[in-house]
Amino acid sequence: MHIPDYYEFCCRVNIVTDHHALEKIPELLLSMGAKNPMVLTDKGVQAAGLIDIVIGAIDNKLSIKTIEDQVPPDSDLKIVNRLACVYHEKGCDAIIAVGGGSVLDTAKGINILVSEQAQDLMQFTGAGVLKQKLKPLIAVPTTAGTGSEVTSVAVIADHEKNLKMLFTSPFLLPDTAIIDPRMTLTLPPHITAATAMDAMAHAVEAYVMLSKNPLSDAHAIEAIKLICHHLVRVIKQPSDKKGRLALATAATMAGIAFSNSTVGMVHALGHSMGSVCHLPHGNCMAILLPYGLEYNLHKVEDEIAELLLPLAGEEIYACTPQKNRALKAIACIRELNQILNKATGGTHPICFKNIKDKQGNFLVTKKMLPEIARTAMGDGTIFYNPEDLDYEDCLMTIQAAWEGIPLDRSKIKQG
Amino acid sequence: MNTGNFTFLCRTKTGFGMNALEHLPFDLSCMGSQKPLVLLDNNAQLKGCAKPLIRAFKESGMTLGLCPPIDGGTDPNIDLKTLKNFYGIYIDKGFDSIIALGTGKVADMAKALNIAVTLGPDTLKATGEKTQITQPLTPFIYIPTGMGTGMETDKIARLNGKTFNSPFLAPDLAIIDPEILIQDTSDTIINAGLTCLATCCEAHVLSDNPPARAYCATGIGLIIKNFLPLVQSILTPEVTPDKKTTKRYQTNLAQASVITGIILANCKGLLSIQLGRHLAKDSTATPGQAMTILLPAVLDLITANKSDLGNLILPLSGLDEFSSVPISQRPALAIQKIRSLLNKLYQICLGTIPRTLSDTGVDRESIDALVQSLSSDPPPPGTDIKTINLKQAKTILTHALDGQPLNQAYLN
Amino acid sequence: METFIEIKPGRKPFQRIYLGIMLWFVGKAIQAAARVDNEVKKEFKGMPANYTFSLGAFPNGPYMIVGKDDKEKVRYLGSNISKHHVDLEITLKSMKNLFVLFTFRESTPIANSRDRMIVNGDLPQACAAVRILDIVQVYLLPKPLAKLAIKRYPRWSLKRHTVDRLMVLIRTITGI
Ligand SMILES: [Fe+2]
Repeated sequence: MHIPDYYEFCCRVNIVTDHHALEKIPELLLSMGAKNPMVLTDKGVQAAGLIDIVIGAIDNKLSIKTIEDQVPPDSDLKIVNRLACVYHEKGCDAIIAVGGGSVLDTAKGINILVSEQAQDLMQFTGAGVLKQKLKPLIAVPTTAGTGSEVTSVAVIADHEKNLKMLFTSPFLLPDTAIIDPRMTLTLPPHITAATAMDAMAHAVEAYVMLSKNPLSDAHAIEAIKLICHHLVRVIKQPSDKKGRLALATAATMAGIAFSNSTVGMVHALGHSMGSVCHLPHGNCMAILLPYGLEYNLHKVEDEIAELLLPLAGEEIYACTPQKNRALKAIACIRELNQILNKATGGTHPICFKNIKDKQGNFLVTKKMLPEIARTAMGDGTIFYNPEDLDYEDCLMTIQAAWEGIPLDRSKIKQG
Repeated sequence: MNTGNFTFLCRTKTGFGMNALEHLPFDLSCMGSQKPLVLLDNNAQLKGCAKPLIRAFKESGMTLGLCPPIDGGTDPNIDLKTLKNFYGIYIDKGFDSIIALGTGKVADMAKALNIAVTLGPDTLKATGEKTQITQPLTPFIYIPTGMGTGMETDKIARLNGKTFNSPFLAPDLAIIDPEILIQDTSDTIINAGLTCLATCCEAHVLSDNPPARAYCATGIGLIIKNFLPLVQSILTPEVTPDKKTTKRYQTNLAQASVITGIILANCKGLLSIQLGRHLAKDSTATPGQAMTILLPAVLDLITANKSDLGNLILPLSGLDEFSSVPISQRPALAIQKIRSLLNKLYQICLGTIPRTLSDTGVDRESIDALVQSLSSDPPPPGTDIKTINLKQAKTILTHALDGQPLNQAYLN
Repeated sequence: METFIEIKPGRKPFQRIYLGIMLWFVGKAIQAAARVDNEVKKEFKGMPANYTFSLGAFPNGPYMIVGKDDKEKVRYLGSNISKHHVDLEITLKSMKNLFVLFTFRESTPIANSRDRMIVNGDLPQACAAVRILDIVQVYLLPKPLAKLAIKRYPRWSLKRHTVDRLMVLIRTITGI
């Protein structure tokens, strides 16, 4: 058990996990003194028919004032401002956010504006600016990956000024997270695989990064166990409701783990991969995770070795000598990627050079790698990485991940 | 490896470790507070616990109010005159947050004061279970000076027989700083440590609740690594480790105590806890001791899925032992681990603590009377405590008598 | 029975003076390194015009502010935060935290990972600022101390370790 000299832990979200969790929304909102919610979502969630399920579960017990499905894939300041006006006009008193990261970010942004009775979000950027509880916000995640239903951050992009506003405050945590398997039941296998590997990356990074602590560790371990036990079964049997609930729970657990520890270089590289080549986040995570571990191996070998137990089970753990456990754990993640690749008919990628769009064009070319490495150097998560990274280190890592060959560990600078 | 339907809520943010107090002014300002009022007990006062707190507020620009210390003695009741006095001070001087410095009664007093200053003093006069608290109260910070009862971070406020129950009653922030911890007596540590062990073990085995399991595993790990060494260092001063190590044990055990409250708030109807508390009323055993004496029988009797019981080996003994023991042997080993801990404690305490129910003076003939007394002692209103199944209770008590296993067949 | 007392916040004059000197030194050294060291130059080049950043303690400092002027020249802008618009604030949650940092008992990455630091401003610039601080620490501190302060001690050329370091030190003290 690793106990740092100092750590903080906070997750104020009421986590409600149930095969019929949606039906509990009315009671939960009423107990917070609200009954006129705005339902916030995006076009994809709406088209998948998930909103109908949510509305059906609420069943006239609340008076839903409006359903807004205009949230773009990347949160946008203009939309936040407009929806805050709608919130006031329609007389809403709470938000039910149904969707992934962007819907949650947008909901948090709207909630700041309407709770603080403000016009300009800019004045609330940064850490610790919000001083009191915001209006009720219920999060209904639909991806089982991002964990944003339990994070105290929101990122909202001002596309006109071309900047990203970052908000951090415990008051941004939703009041309640509703984990209901019906919300992820229809996710196609390759997206299920990608989002679960995002959750896996959250848990694994939370466990090995500098901010790890006993509570985040315990949450991470539970998450990894759940993912390893259920992911492949759910891919093969998508209607497995128990498995879906377990994966969604794992994503939330991993969210709690990383928001109280942190993510590191896998996310630094993954974020820049996403922004330069527009790859799905989960795919980047699946490919990069083994590389991030390899890069840090000399600093956190014991921690990675401990991960072998939840990743591979007790038999393999017990029968692997201590000095091989870390490498074996990394190999297990690669193997999981291979299995997922097979199970999804080759759509789950295992290296960057093979990823193609629908027209058959390569999404990541070798020429893009330097720009990706440069962008990664400006990602804040890099600071929590056990080993330092400069531009060359980033480039070396993504080059290996592009080719799909293990990292040449003799080239890692060890100071 | 399934998750059932569950809910989990812990409103308390925790800060553990070195210089934790230094973060308090910043955290207060994040809650919109500028002027906290400190409640403490005479023990904390005597040991100078206020000093590090005052030091942490240097250069913060925040003024601190220090109430006269309350009597932390064994009487669980709160003096209403003192409460009224504090209420007056809080309102008159314009305070905007409450700090409880100390354990047990100070936290109870702070919770009651919080209800009074946020919702009005009349709220305290109403019967507890009828009072619905649905909104956040005034910022409330809990700074333990030792291991406490484990109930400080629970969502329940006790006021002279009345109970108020709301997630908003739990502290907003719990700060554990080695600088402010004082040396508890070995009795306090033993009672608190065993309470934590029983709570975390039973909740870990019984709940389908992954967040609760994560807290439990952490709590058990902290107890296993720090509890016996700390007790030993107090009782056998000739082998006492250096000051730094002792402080580390204390800090880690105080963390475990905070975790206990969080578990109690989320896992309802833990049998060993309820039975243990009841048993301790007319016994030589303290509640914590009684809980741990009953724990093996409770776990053995009520775990439907024995692999959940076997999984307890992981937090109790670590990765290597867990992974090398065959699945079929794990449940028995888990129970043996708990018993061994109690036996070891018996040895360290030179036989002054009980290992079994009969060590506490209970004999076979008195068990029926004990079970009867359970039915005449209904759980207090407003709590989530379930009524105990008397037949179950009898089996547990019978088997805890000599601490013998319930049955030999763990393979089902 | 004892009575209620109100305690006004005290001061820590020694820590304030010590930190004032250290921050002044670091500020001046950043200015100097921006003239001498290519990597620091490059990091500043990547920042927008007139960009300023500060390092200090919540809630009342001390602080140091560094920024680029109209002519892209990097300057140490003193310790008075109310006089300047600051784009990026790196703040330790208390003066003691800053003191622990500047007495090398906790490195920047460790203080950061222990939730002792808050960063308000754009992340790419924050990353650049931390890298600049790292390089300056390598210049200013003897190797054993610098190793405590940063994550990975860099492998620099002999010139950078000797000639450049001397130049940074001279410029820091003389302020040129
Ligand atoms: Fe992610």
